Amino acid sequence: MVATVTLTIDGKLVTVEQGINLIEAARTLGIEIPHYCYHPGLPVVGQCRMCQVEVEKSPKLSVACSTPASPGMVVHTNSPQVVKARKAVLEFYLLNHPLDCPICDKGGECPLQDYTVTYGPGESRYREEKVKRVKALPIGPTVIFDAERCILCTRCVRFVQDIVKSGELGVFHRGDKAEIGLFPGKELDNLYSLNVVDLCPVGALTSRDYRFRARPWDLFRQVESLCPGCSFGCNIILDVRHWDEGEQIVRIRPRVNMEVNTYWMCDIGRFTFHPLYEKERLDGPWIRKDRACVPTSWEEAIALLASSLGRLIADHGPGSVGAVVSARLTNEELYLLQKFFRRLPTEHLDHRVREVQGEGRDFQEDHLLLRADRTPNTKGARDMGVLPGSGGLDTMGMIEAARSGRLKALFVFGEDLATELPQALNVQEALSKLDLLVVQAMSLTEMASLAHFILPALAFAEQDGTYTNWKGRLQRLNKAVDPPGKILSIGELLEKVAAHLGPSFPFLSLEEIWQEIAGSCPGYEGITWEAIPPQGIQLPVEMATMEARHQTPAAS
Amino acid sequence: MLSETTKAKIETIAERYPAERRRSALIPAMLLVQEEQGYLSPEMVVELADLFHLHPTQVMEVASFYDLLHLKPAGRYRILVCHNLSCSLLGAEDLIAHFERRLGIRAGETTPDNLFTLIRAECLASCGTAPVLQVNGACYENMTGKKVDQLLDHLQNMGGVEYKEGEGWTPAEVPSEKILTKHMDLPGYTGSLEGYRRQGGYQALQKALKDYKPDEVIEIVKRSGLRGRGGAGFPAGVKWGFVPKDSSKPKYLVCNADESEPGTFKDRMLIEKDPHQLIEGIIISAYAVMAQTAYIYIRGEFAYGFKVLERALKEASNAGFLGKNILGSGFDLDIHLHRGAGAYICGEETGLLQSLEGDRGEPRLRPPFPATHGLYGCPTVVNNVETLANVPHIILRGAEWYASIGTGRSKGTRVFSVSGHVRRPGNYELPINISIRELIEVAGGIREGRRLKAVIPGGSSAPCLTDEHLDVRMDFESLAAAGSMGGSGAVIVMDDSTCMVRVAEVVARFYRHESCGQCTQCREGTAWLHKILKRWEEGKGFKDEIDVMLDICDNMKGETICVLSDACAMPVESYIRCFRDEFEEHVRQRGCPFRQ
Repeated sequence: MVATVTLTIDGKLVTVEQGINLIEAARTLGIEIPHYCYHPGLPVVGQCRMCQVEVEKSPKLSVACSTPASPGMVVHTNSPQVVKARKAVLEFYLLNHPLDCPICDKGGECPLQDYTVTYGPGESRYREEKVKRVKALPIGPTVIFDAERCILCTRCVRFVQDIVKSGELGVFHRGDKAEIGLFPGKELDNLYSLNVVDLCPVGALTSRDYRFRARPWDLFRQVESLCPGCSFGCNIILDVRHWDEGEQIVRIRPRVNMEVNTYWMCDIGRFTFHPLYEKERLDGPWIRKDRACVPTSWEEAIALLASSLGRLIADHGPGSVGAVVSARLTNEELYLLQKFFRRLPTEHLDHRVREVQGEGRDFQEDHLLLRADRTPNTKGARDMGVLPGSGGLDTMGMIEAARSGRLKALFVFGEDLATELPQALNVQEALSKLDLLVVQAMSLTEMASLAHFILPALAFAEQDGTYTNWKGRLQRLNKAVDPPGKILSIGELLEKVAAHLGPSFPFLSLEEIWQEIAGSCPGYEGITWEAIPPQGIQLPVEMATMEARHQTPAAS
Repeated sequence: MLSETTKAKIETIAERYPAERRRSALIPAMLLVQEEQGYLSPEMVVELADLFHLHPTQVMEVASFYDLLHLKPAGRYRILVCHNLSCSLLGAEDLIAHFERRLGIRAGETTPDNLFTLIRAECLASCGTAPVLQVNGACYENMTGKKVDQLLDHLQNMGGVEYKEGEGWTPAEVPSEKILTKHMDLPGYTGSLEGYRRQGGYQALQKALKDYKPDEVIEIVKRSGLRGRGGAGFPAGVKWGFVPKDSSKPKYLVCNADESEPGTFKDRMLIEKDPHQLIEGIIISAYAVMAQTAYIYIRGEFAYGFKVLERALKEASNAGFLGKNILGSGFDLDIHLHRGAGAYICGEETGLLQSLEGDRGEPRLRPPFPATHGLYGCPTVVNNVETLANVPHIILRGAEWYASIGTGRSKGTRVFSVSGHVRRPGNYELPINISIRELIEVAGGIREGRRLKAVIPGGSSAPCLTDEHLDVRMDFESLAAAGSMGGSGAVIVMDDSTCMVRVAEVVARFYRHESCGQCTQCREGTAWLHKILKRWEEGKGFKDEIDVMLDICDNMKGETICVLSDACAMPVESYIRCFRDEFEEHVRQRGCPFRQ
């Protein structure tokens, strides 16, 4: 049992967990106590003095962020004394603030702007010249700094010093000369740098990637989803903007999930929406004619693919067919693909590509959120059965079988074997011997130049589905935007190909797919699509992953 | 590159702190590097960061916080001229103008030959001998234009500075028994261990260790009524009583020798003139709270005092008053000296602890209080120099004797630092409940032909009193009742030649300079007040701004981590309330009526 305390906030009785502060206690009642320096994921410093509240029997106002909720406490968050103090703090903040909201990227989602409108003074009594400081200074590859807008809440400093422990940012000088800065010649270049942009309660730190791409009111849709960047499974929000040409994701922000990423995400994850908008993005199928690959219609692509595949199976048997399916795909896609290929039937099925490469190819793990395994769904691929069955070949086995001529057809979903695997394996030479190479990808890859069929793939943000993270947490991704052109989902594709081949492979809804997964995948029993909550479900943990469970990112 | 000698010295310094708290040696190490290199170059910052396993940014954060740490090169002689209140009352601005003319540079600049850098400095704790300046830490007092010329000639021709005892403590007749200052008035008394022992020194320590258990010492000090002499006036014995007895963590005693409240110069005298009295007080107090390590955090500007204490600690150690099993009692204690680097806020006890841990001197949120979570998160008592120096006398002569001096809840004597427009500025040890009138009389009265205008009774943070309050007594309660405070016992006397707008500007400028910058009200409020007051003094004030200033003061009070914000707002508010006419006159005349 968690110990609780009962107190009164603005006349309402509330029972909260012992030890939480008044800001959090008030939050449980839907009461917002304005604050700047406080952040639940950072050490409490009580500097901004914005969150002052009146606690009965206390001689002075109390700072809510550093005052624990105590039994019987009577708190007023909007008494005349509090309102006056809050207004005073805002007046002090605005003395030297440039008020350049119209050209500030934070405008519209700025707590300084918002609180000033709600609680601040209407006009300035400041007759002095405003202090001039550095503006629009790039301080690293991702962030731009505007010292005039800074209110010295030090959230960014605490983030780099206490959470990332990279320590690039600091407070230099003191008093009204104090300023956030970096050591000369150093940059803010850690892999979590963009969290300071989310943390900054004003427009002092803005994202070089997102800057001037949208106003908050342009972001008409915020979609809760998952980062596809690695197997950590950070929860994210996709900010979608409407343009005349259509909708576009313009920003990814972390979504709080205390069981996974807490409040943060890495910079690599922030940019995972960029491949959606690459120039080389495929928006329809391509087919090899003579030497060159050319765009074609889905009808032609599917008819020709199915007849090639049917011929090969007739001539050489289904055992001449193999498939490599990336663990970047969703559980549902993985499930359908393994089901399709097992029905052919073939047992040459694998998701493992990176295991072949050995160590060191991917980026390093760290103490926060970065996993060396860059595929978000390795555990899911295993759980869905995307592994060689009895007598089946693994990825390397399939490549070698292609080289020796034993394997005639290879399907590759979401991987570029030509670039992912070491040069020494001479993968291209092996693949060039295949009678049928089908590649599904988001854009033209190096391997695609060898393919007989190139099929366009949906991006993570263009469909619903689930990933299972490295600790066995099943989480949902939600469709944020439509794909470009006409891209068939895996389910649609398989249904159409099967229709040409003979035995039907009817298209299933997500609910129907989940009925099958729950019935056939160990650990997923009893789960329904509708029942997966926004924060995900922790699956029963295998012994092998017990160790992983005990590692959680540092939240504070 | 750091020299091997410097590195070795840094290692020696680091030994004063727990192994896992090496960072405490950062500021002393930076001072050492500066001695060798003149300033902290980016390369040095990087080297120091490596040495202390910090990011260079963190070292820069610390270095840029302190006035005595320099990230840019300067002249061979750094001349710090005090422009704070007491010096300013006695011609500091003329002195700075004289320097500027003579050196051909403005304050803040360096002469082309790289010999001199002229710096405006805040209070150097020599207010009784104002105006004062320091050259590379050596103090020059009672300065005049002529003496400046002589000094500059000497530095240009001969070179070298002399670190010596303060000049300002000529023994003065006081109408009562002196306790803390009695030895130093004896002819030939040097403050050596031998001299101190000849006067009965260290007998109190023997008595405490032999006759009393630690708890009993706390009880005696509680009964004596001794209250903190640093500013807040908190009962010392009560503070000691808050230290948990059953904690498994080490306990610390920290002597706050960061005397920097403008107008205050008594701790400097107590250190320079009778260091063993302080050391004996520290040992007994450490015994009372069962601390085995004590630190003396001494102001970076007290270069001479540092040397005095260094020598005295060595003497005490050689004589067996420090170290293991002191006087066969089984009690162990080490005292380490720790130099500050120029920041008023480090006189605030949690700012001091942050600084002692090698960080920016930014006061901590309370609770928890230092008694339970102080230095390195361990139980810690922080006491002022004068407070600790009282302890041996209380032990030797008894709580009742001590409590018989003074009044009500204010007991004992106080060493009042009297400066400003009196005939004989200086430190005067008197019963704490002496009246303002008597105190001014002891200090020789107001200057010839002048009338009293205002008195600041407890350092520049204290609201001013006027000639109506001459019969108010200087004990904590009486001053509080009169709307001011006892503070650090610094009495700044101002006669009718004083412009109170100018005083307000000087005071606001000081707090603006010294605000650590954490809390919004303080960081922004001190600067705003100062900017307005400066403009007013230049004749560009607006009448409606009197109320704006009062409002700013009101908004600055009672709502910050420490009381620096209040310490700026309270006096400024008091000047406006007491001398509103004079403020309005500045607007009417579009200038300062006190300037010709």
